[in-house]
Amino acid sequence: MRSADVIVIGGGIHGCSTALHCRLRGLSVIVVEKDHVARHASGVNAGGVRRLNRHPAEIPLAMASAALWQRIGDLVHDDCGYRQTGQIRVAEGAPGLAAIAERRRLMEGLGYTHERWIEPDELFALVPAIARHCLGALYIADDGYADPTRTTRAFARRAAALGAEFLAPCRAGPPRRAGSVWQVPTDRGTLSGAHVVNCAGAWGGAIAAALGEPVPIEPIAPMMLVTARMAPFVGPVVGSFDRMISFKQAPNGTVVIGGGWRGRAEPDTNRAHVEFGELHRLIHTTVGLFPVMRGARITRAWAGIEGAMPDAIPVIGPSTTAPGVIHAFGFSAHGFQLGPIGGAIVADLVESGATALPIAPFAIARFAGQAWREAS
Amino acid sequence: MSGPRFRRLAETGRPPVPITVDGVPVAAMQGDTLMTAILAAYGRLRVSDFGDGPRAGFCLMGACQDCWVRLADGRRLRACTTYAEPGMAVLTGAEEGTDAR
Amino acid sequence: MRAERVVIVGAGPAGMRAALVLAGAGLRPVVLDEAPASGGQIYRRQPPGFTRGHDALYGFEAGRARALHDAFDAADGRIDHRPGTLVWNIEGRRLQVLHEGAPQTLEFDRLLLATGAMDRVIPFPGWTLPGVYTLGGAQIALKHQACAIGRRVVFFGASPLLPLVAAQYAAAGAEVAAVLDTTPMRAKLAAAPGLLTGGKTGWKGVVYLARLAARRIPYRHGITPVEVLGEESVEGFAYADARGRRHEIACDAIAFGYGLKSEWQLADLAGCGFAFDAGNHQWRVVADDAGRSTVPGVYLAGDGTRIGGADLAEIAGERAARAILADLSDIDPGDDLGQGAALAACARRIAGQAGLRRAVERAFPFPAHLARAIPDDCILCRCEAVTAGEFRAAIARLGPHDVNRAKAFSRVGMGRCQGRVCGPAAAEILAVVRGVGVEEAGRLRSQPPVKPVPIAAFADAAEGAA
Repeated sequence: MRSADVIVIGGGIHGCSTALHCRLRGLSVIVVEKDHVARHASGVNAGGVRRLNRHPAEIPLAMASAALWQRIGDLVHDDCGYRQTGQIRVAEGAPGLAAIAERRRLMEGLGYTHERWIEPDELFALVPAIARHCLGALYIADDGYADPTRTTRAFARRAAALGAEFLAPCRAGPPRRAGSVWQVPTDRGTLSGAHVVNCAGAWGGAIAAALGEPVPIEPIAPMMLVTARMAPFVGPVVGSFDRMISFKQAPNGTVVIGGGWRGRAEPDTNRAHVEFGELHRLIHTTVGLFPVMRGARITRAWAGIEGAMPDAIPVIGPSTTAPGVIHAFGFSAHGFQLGPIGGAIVADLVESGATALPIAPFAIARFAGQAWREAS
Repeated sequence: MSGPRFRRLAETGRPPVPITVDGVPVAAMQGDTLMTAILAAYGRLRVSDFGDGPRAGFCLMGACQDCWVRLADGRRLRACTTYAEPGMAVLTGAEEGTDAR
Repeated sequence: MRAERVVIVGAGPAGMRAALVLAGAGLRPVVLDEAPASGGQIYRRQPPGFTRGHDALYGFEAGRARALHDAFDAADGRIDHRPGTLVWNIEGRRLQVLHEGAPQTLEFDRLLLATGAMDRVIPFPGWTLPGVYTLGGAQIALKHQACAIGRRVVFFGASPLLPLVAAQYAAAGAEVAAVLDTTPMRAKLAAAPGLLTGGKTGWKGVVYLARLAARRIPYRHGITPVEVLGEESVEGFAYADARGRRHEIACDAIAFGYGLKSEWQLADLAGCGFAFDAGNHQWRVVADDAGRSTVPGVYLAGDGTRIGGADLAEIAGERAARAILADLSDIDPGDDLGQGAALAACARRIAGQAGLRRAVERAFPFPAHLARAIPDDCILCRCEAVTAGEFRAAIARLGPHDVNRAKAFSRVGMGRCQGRVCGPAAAEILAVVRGVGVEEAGRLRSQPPVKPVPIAAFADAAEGAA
């Protein structure tokens, strides 16, 4: 039976990052991936490297991850297509302005200064193509984006170069306790290890459930549109407090549009379907925000399967029922930026059972029994 | 820009449809596709988005998507399946900033 | 019989014939087609105001074209023909379309996909230059617009269209510089008996060759394309003859192709099964003996399923329509529409053409070796301007097992044509680098929209709804 210190289930960015950080600390690792690296959410997301407007619980992690993004080339030996173009989230009406005011109060109360309010003049100077009804925005100049597939593969490649073993395509069943170690049954035989890490994304809930700690995870299929090439007209990634949109122009001129619009996820068949009925509204928003987009043509659309938690923050931390198992899944469509630090946190937990970063809000125990339903 | 690409062999008595290509008046005819209208007078429809030279369409049946042209009013049209209409102002040059790889 | 919404996509010979059969049975099928008039590519009609007759446009096929056009026009009112309609997505039993530029949704109970085909090509150095077109494209310029693609044209490839389009150009008064067939003479001779005993089709080919010979137009076999001469547009064509000697021909236009490939993107989105057709060296959509796809309620006919040409497409259209009628009568037993015998007759006629189909495949074989040998500096994907060398390097570096992964790594097939043009050659390159058969390299999955859709249409629709 093959064994390693750490068996990672899932070859998304968190699984690959976990493999890399474990190897950097001398731990042996086997990653089991049912399809191929970056097949789902890690490969088809918008690639936002964003601290802007994060859930307060995620901010310390996002800050620590941003420090790793700064030296991503040293970490994974690939620049990952990382560009610090800035991220902007505009207010288009009174509700958006109110949301910004609320957000600023919250950040001030927590002592954070990384999100900056910009007046319309500065917004229009930064993004000349944006519609003039915008009333201002929150801005982080050194947020940006990266190429998600390339990044995830770079983590995998670097981890493999340092000795991590990847089994893909290879399905894993739920871990079983066998004396002092865990056994993970797979298509290619049973693996054993002292630690098992659940980085299975939308499929992570099934593993948790098999270990006796079910969570209310929902498989979702965020959709993206991409247009034919256009002359460069926008640098930063742009979102809105009033409408669901995320908008960026890639260096090659194509425009990638998302923002949380959902297609249909079929985790059992591995398929995600685009549903264009919803996308009409996204297109309406797009043209409203960027009038130049009237001349654009949609060339492709896609959806990928992701696991969303009801409180929209992930599950990160040790299992409460299965000592030695660590969860890191359910990133709810904003786990990409957290990838670099996510693996370091898991490696901390493997090594010492603790991490310096505040992960208590992500404990799986928050969903235990009736506690969650009563709180919500 | 090089000379005419398409050669009209018949049906040349149709009523004219005035359009411009890069600002120059072109005598298109009723029933001309935008592609025919342009290529009967000019050598290209557009330049590649990647700076690898001029393009003048390929399949003529709306499949290869190589012949999308840009009008001065911001519209983008597939030249092989769109009929020329009076007043269309086609721009065949590189859109600013897109011709670099 | 309860009211069933029967929708046909494509108004070429398959779709038109199917619509006529369904209309004859009292259904009122909806026929969606991108073109402004029915006819498809083969029987494409010229725009209003053009005066050439059927004989000039369709040659030997004039009688068939006229019969189909006249019947379809006479059925106006019994067929809900909606020209100017692009079907760009299928979600379950719903079609998403742009009709005259406006987005609409259409529900169906039965769907017949008769989406036709386009030329299959293999890139060669210079093929993106102005003046290089597909054989089908050259034919459309003439048929639909009364234009030649240049003043002096070289035709090459391996396709039934090769002698046909060259002869049509010569007859219309264009200068044909040469007709160059990549098929070796011995292969052509080996296929000749099957072609000539398979009905009129083979003999038509003989007539085209005779007409070219009468005009002293050179016709060469066993050539290999080398490159387009010229920097900004076509100034000549270089090829190697069967003995490997280089020749250069002055010309200002080139038309080429290697048979046809199905436009099967909608069948893919509908979830239909595919199979690799070794005879034709390409993927086809799987249909049973009656034209039923693997998806209940979705039917297939014509070149969009399996390449066979206009006559077969028309029979397949009738067959699929009768299958639809037979399946409808299953819903309402007691009203046997007597489709069994008619279906069997269609099946017999199609089976009768099988020999000819095989002979055509042998006479114009796909020269896969040309795809495998595309030089590294030649553009492979013309949408994204990715060279064959860049594609090979991405494969070598990242080791994709199928063309979809290779696309993600290289952008080959990721552009606005979705790999319609470069897909077959890309699969050959991937197969040879990996050392597997081309069917193992897979086929590029279709994604909605199957053709680019302008954002303005949706923005306007959303405003209208608000």
